[in-house]
Amino acid sequence: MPHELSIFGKEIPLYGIFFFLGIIIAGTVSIIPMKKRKIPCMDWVSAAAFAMIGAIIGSKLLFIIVSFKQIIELNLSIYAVIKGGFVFYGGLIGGIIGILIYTKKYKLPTIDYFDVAAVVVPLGHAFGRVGCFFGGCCYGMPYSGKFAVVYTQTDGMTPLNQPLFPIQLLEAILLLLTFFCLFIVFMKKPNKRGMPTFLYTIVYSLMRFSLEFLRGDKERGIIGFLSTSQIISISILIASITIFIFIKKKRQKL
Amino acid sequence: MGKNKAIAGLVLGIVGIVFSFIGGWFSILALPISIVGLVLAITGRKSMIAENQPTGLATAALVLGIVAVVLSAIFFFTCGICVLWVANEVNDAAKDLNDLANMFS
Repeated sequence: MPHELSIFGKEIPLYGIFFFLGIIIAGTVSIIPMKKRKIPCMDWVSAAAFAMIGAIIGSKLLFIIVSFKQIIELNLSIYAVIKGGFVFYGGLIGGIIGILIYTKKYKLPTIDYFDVAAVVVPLGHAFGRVGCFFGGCCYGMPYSGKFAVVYTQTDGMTPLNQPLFPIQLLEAILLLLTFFCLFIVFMKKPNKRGMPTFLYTIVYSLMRFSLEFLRGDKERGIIGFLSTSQIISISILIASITIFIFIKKKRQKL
Repeated sequence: MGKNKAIAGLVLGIVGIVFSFIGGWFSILALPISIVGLVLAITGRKSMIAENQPTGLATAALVLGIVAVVLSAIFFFTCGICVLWVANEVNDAAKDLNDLANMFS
């Protein structure tokens, strides 16, 4: 399984290449919903940049929080902690905060930016998961059926020479489907503000909660009988439904 | 004010890209430098619009800042929590060696 590409003599992890591809492709596709909501291009680019910064910081912070005990026990250096480890949900929360900061500072309609992001994030995320597949991280449980994948080399913790469930590819496919559904819904009702955001949070939290049962990497963090991501999924699901009900009642009163 | 921010953002973006290619501890520094540069470019551009100044420089700084952040993330960061697994394995191996040494001492 190749996990690096040589570009101009520098070995670049495929994980990073797919991460980059995801950003480029999702960013390009975002032009369509952005124009539908009449968001100025440079404002969208700036908000996306703030979201990217928030995502990087958030995903790293959540990694440190969920792995804090191990970091202390293993006496890891700051270099090692900074170099490795990101958690997607931390990135999602960080990205949301990034967009909030930008839109509130410059008095822009936050929900429009959230809606455009909600449509294209699954697309970028799908590429990220393909990168995880090549990198060998976020691997699946032991599995001997069809499409099982066997890693013969890895940068980290993937069990070698053992057939595993290709959970990264399954999640990538489901994320692509999510993107297509959200895109179609958005294009059919472009002025239904808040709906893409609500749909994305519901669909992704349910999807992630379910897929976690097929994951084999216990190192990602387990609390009781649920993984960290499952607990976050439940929290996001409850928060989304609560906010939706609150806004609906508020609109009915008006 | 806006122009100064944009120039600072441009410089930091260039520094971030260069540091990304150098590697090692420079790669770690590349990301926060690139992030600060990108924020300065964005806020500088907004200030220049408010001051009715041309925004070409700030737009260039913004684009460079995005490239710098993405490059520093791609070149340096590994995926998942691989580093924890490696450290765990090294720790276990060290304990095994220690136990072996104690057996023969």
